[in-house]
Amino acid sequence: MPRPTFDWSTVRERSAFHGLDRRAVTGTDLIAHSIAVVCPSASALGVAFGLPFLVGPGAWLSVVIGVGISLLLAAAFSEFASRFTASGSLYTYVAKGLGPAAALVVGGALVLGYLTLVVSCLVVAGRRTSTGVETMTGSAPPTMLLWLVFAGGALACLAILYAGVRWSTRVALATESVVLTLLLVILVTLSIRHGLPGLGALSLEGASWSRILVGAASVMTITMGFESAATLAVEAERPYLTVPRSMRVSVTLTGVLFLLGVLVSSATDGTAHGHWFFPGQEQSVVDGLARLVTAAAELACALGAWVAVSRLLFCFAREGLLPAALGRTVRRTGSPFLAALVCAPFVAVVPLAAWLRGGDPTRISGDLLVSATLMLFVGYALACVAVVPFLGRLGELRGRDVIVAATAVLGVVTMTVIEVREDLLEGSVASMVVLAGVVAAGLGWLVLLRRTSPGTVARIGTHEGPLRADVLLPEEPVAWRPR
Amino acid sequence: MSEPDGYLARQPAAVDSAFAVLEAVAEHGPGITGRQLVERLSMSKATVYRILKHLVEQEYLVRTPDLKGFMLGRRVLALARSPEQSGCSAG
Repeated sequence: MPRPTFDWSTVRERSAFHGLDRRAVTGTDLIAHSIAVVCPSASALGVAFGLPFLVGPGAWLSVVIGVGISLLLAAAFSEFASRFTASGSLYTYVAKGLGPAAALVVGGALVLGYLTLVVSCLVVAGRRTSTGVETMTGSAPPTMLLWLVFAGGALACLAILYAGVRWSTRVALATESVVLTLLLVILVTLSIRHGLPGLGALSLEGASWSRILVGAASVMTITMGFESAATLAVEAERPYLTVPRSMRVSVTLTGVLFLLGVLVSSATDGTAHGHWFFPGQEQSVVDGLARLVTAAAELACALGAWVAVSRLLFCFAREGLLPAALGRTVRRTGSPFLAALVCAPFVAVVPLAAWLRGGDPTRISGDLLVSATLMLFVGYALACVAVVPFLGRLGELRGRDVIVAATAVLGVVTMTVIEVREDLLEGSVASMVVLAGVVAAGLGWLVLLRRTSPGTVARIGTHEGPLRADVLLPEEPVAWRPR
Repeated sequence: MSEPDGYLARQPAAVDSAFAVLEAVAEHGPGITGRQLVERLSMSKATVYRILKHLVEQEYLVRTPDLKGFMLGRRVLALARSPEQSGCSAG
């Protein structure tokens, strides 16, 4: 075989994402970031306890289907994550597979999805703090406490974002270590008190497939955000190994904890919610503290989602889609802080509007979470579709990849239809508006770019190519060469 | 105590295969594709792709800018370093 000529000028000195704290996040910290965004404590102590009542017999099957689809999504996204790094996550993946129009739809959906996740988590953190204080003291604190936690949490997130990715991922690791320990202690405590569920909990007698699928859609939403690890690919150590692993581990861990939550709750009478250690006592310092810990988990989720959205905006800026200032980093910490700071008005406006309107903050976070879910589902579906053309172009497409991607697309589309249907049955068209809005915004953005800056469109989907520091250069002094 | 059969039967072969892929990339030069490696080596497509994935994860191989080909990663240098550079001496 003739030795080919290789153009070494394509191997750059500097990354397209230079300035970030490259290869700084360890594999463990990256997993912690992913878990923080998925926030298993909220699901295993919240939705899991409601699922048996929502689904009836076969709630465990909802968990298996929902988590199974998320694992298929993780496998599909790993086909990209194991081949290149970029801060754009699914946006870059879709650009590689389906081109700029679909990429901009996904990019817009991810930014809005993560931002709504930040707001929703901050509101829930405030609410949990309020109920935690109420449980500890026996009297309800003023509503102002919720908004103080919201504002304080947002400022703390910004401070950590400025400090850099080493801090944000380490904070996630510390928080999740405490939260997951608490979660296990609560589940063990409830198991000891109420006993373990019998084999009857696995019975499908009287089960309704439509309720099981509604439950599965609900379960899938709890793993939402697992892909945020991909936004840290440039900053992760051994990213081709650690990013796919983080996605896989966070979904698996959440699924296992959620299933435990469902099984444990099926043996309880459902009255222990929030009073895990001292049921029946209105006032309990221990239960109050446990609630405060779950509030901290929500803050960690807000931080993780904020980190993710800042990397997306940073990526857009580096490609020329947004002003170049958003593509700058803090020299000392490698943080794209301006890209994070620019999100603050959005974070502030949503609850401020609700407060001025006198709305119920509980309702806001629920609505926001449904919107975030649908926006991320759009991104998930398009990223799975993108797998096939992407691998096909590389000449690396296997039958297994097609089956995984097709099954994942089918799963996520089914879950989206179920979410929208549930919304419509409740008389709300918000989900339809969100879906149409996300697609229209992405396509509108493309039209605008084609008119104002056609050269920018060609840069959509930039990835970090090999750097001279990463490869064995022809002039390297090696003692042995193969014959 | 004898080694488990799994170790004797599989692991050395996997190491041999990984080195064969690395040597093929080194001999061919940067840009060799997965398909070309399958043609060149007496291994199945699945084996070659699995090894390539692992070597890229471990950064012994790096994908070329167009993502289609492979080149040797900096980590290989540590293996190929001369005795003087690695601090070893004959005496």
